[in-house]
Amino acid sequence: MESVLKITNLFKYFPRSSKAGVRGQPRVLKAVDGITFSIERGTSFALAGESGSGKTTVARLILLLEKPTNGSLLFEGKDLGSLTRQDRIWYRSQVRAVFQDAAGSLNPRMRIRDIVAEPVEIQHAELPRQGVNAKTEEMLRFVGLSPEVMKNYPHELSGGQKQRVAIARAMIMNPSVVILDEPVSALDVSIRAQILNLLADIQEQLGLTYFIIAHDLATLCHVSTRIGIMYLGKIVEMGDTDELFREPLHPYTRALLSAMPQPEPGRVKQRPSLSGEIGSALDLPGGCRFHPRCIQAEPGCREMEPVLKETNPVHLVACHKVKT
Amino acid sequence: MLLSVEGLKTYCYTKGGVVKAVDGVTFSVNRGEALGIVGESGCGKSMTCSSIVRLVPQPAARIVGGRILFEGEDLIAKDESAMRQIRGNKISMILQDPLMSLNPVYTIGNQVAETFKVHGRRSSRTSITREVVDVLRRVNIPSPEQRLKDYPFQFSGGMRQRTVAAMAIAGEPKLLIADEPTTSLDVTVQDQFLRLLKQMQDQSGMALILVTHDLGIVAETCDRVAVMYAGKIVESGDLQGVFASPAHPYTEALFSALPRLGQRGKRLFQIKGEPPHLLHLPDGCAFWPRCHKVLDRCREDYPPMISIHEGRRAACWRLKGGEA
Repeated sequence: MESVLKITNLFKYFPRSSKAGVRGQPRVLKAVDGITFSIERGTSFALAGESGSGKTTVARLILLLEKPTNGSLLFEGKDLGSLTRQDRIWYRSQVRAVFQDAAGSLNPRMRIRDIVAEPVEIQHAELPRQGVNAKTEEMLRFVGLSPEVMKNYPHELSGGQKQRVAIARAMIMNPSVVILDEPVSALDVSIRAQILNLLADIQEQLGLTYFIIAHDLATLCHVSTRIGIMYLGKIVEMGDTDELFREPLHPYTRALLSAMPQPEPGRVKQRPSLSGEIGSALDLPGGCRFHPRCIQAEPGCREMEPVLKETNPVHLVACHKVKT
Repeated sequence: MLLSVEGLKTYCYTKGGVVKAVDGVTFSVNRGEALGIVGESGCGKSMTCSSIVRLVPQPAARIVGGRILFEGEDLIAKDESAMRQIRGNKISMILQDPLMSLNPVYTIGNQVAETFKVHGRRSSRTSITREVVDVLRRVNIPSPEQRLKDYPFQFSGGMRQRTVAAMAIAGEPKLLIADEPTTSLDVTVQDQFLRLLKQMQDQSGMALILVTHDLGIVAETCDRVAVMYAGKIVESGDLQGVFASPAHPYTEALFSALPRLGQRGKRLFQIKGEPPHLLHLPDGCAFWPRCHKVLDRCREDYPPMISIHEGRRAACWRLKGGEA
């Protein structure tokens, strides 16, 4: 299959304060620390992990909101590092985003019509107003909203409706990739199901490619074809969703799964789970970055950093304890 | 019986009209028991909790009816100074965002000590410090002696919430009300915190009211569950019973709308529409416009709470005479 996005050895370091650290080197926050993956057309790739694992930074890098420290991003074979201004404008119509907090990503002083139509008005300034309006109306219907909301302001809509507006705005440019950053975590259960179904329908109809970020594994299991588990800037396990959930190999993936509350009373939980909390990307532990929390850690884990290795062609894991 | 809430009504008086946030809610909690209150945002679950400790945002909101019997005494009849004796000593509360519950300019040690100073037991400074260290150790704060002088911003999210829990159990309450205590935490940290709650309950025999929108958390923490919709309890009963065979269509729909592990690509059941605005409730049952099992009668009269069997109740016209 053809890959739409190809990310190779991507790094993003944020320098923190000009003051030198204890050993005289400037302190560096390693938000993304060398990750590689590719997303095939028409599929959904998900990144999961706790807050602070670097998932959102990856999304921001893909959206050209940050410049990578190192590594390459290829979109349909084009290197995103060497885009001209014209290319960038085109790229931004091809790769769109929907964020977690719809209320925060919609301008409170703009009407829904203007919010949804804005990308078209910028990219196709030649279109007459009526044409834009017709397209906006069509888009709102497409995401299950009545065109009557066009004259409303965001605060007049409910949380679910706002998220639909954000989706309409993302879809109106007919993109090929949509980045969904926690698209449903701010929504109630009943609305969540509606939005997840809507996203699935849209993907099927338009043959879109999704890049999804979420911390809720049940949601991700539902919508993704392939999933990467991130921990402190690195992907520790990656594989086809079905297989990864059926047979998680990395101790962190296992811990995440067992920590997930499931609506089945009396379920016997696999214990023990994790101790402690995710460390700081400013001060990474030596060796495997997960070893301070790992129940299977051995002295070797403290010294050598494991690399992502294939256990089979579609399942990769970075752990010394997993035999490949 | 430790707490018995009967026909509680808490109304908010707004410019737009009277919002019946809690409209005739009846439930009880036994000693040592854990009750889960589930519902979507705006269904009145938090308002129910603040009514129990009489901390509703006055003057806009007022408790206008019902009784709250705690150890046989009606809390609604008590004056403010008597309530102050109960809050923190007999009934404690943990809120969603630990950062909002902690004062950023006082040290952790100082704030936890305050609860000991306020709640009776006049003791010397050194013995208070000893008690503070003790209670912080009970909630698994590592090396509490050293962390006393830290400020809340130096604590991680999980540690902050555990500090709030320490303050809540400092007075050895009979009842702990936790209102969405883990919403701001990561899954692995949430898991640790829920375990801690369970452990505190086992040790001291206190009762717990856990408010959440996550049915998974209820399944893992509670003995009984009450489901709220639009200011009313629509179903209540023992955990196993409600989860195995939900009697109210709303409860049933909530379960089917939940994304679960191992069901990739399956379409989720969709509850149509959105939760109603409490100012514009439909006639009859508040859920009928969204209900997939609606009867003509539902549009006209609110269904009474019907006892299905021992301890199991639901309000739905379909449940006449006890059969589901």
